[in-house]
Amino acid sequence: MTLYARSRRLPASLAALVLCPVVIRVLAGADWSVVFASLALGASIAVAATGLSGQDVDLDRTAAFGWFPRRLVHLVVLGALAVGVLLAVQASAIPAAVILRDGLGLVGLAGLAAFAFGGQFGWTFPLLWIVVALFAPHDPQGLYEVVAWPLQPADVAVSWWLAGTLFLLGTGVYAVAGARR
Amino acid sequence: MSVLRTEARRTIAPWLLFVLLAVGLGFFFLFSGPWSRDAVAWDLQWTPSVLWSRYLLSLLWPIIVCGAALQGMRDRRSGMEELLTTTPLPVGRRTAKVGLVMGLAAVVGYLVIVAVGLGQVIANDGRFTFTWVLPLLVGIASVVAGVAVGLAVGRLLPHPLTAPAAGVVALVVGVVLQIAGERGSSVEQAVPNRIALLSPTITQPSSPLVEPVLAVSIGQLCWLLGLAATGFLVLAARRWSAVLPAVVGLAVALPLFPASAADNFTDSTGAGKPVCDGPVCVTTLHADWLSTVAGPGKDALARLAKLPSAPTHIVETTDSEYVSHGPGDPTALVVRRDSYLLRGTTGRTLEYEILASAPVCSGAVTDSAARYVVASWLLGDLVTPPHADIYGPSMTTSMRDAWTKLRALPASEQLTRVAAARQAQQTCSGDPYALLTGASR
Repeated sequence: MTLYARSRRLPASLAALVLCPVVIRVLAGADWSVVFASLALGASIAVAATGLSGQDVDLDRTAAFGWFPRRLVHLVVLGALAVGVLLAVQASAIPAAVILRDGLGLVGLAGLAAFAFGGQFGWTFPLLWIVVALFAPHDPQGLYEVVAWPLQPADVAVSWWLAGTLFLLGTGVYAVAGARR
Repeated sequence: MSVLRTEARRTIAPWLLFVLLAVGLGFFFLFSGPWSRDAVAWDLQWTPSVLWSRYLLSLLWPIIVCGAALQGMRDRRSGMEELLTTTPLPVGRRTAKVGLVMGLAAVVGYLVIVAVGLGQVIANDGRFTFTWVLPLLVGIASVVAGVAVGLAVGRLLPHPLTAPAAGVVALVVGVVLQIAGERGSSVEQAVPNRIALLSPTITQPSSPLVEPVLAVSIGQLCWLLGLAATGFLVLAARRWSAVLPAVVGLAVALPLFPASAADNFTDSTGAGKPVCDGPVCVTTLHADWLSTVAGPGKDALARLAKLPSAPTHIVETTDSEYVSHGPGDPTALVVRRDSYLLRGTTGRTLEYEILASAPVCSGAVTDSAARYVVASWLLGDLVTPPHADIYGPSMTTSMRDAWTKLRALPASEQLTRVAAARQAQQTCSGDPYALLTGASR
């Protein structure tokens, strides 16, 4: 377990995961809104996702145990922690459902990126999508709801569908196939 | 060439190019905003088109920095730095190739986006002046500086968290400085204009007639090129003297920059001067439009004359309707030729749109409905607006409701309500639709 944690750079990841939302929360101050919340969540999941693979993927594969549950638990716990920390630092200004949905989708994106580019690049998709979502203009409305799904209110159905699909897809391929070597 | 090809395949440069093009062109083509439908649209005039590409850098710059940081840590991350120090080839020569390939990818991506915009400007027969050249050079310098800073940061701190952190920091710095440069924003007071101009991006162009003043462009060029030189020097040889170019650039730029954001832009070509036919004036830029607008404009003024405090003349502005300009002259009716409502309209339709023109206040559909009901009342007949479909189905029903309620009243009461509604529209105070239907008195 200790070795696993060290090979996944868990100490640094966890510290950054906690630090990101706290710093952003403090900086945002009274202007705290869903924009900052999704930025904080995206940043903390992105930094935590830098540790989605070990030093040597080939060596890992020779292990005598199944990687599937480990990978799944790693990704899900990481997402749960990020959501938990954010819920803890924010003074309940943003509905928990929104943060939960964003957490699901972003974790999925992290898994997808790790699968596509390798573990140390797990941060690329979550961060890129958050940045694009923050800049997405509000017109046309339909496209805005798709691109900026992390910023939508909890009652926008399409954002839930997207987040859910990304979560299932991302955690699925990462848990089954692992990070790219 | 073959060295470049090898480097291109060993680096993430092709990916960077792909992401820049996908994000940049997607932003301009898939979404609509001031860049797609206003007088300052990126496909109408040369200078605004280039300025929009620099506005887009607020989105692209963090991506460039992030990608370059990722690339900058390649040697260390692959564990071969020690091996490379044993080779006789100087480190500068080797990193120069990586820098060249990454820089080329980013600059090519940026220039393709600029070229797509300028191609549309040529197709739309935009007014050509040379005022777009310097802003474009600043944009390229900004892209190169992004690559250099990213590579240098990646080389100095080869940790897996460096690249995402560099991206986030670049994003935050860019956005804060950009907002600080916007007149009237809350950050403007907190950050001096001279600091805001150090931004790798630029604020939204507020009018197609203005360009950054010479001192601003030259200063930004010095600062960004200094930053780029520092980045590349750090890459080649880690010495403290590497920060010198950035410091020199900063020292040249800061005194050049104007102290107030109001002096950042100028209209050097005089295209904003009015050309008039009686009470109807347009800008020199749109002088050919005067013959089209003069007739309907005069008719509209005549119809408005029956209202108290009616406007007495029409002026054309090219200022963006999405940027607040504060209260204007109440005797002037302001029109925008390049607003999507007016572009290409003539005769009675143009007169109708002129009668309905007012500042955009709340953006509510009922606000627009009220404007067109007032205009219809002045024309004497309920007319469906040419662009009614963009407001959604509630537009026509709201208009018909208000129209029937209004026409059921005695003539003097109709006049009072229309006058009150128009007053509310022009000053952005109160709810014009409620005033029209009598829901608020």
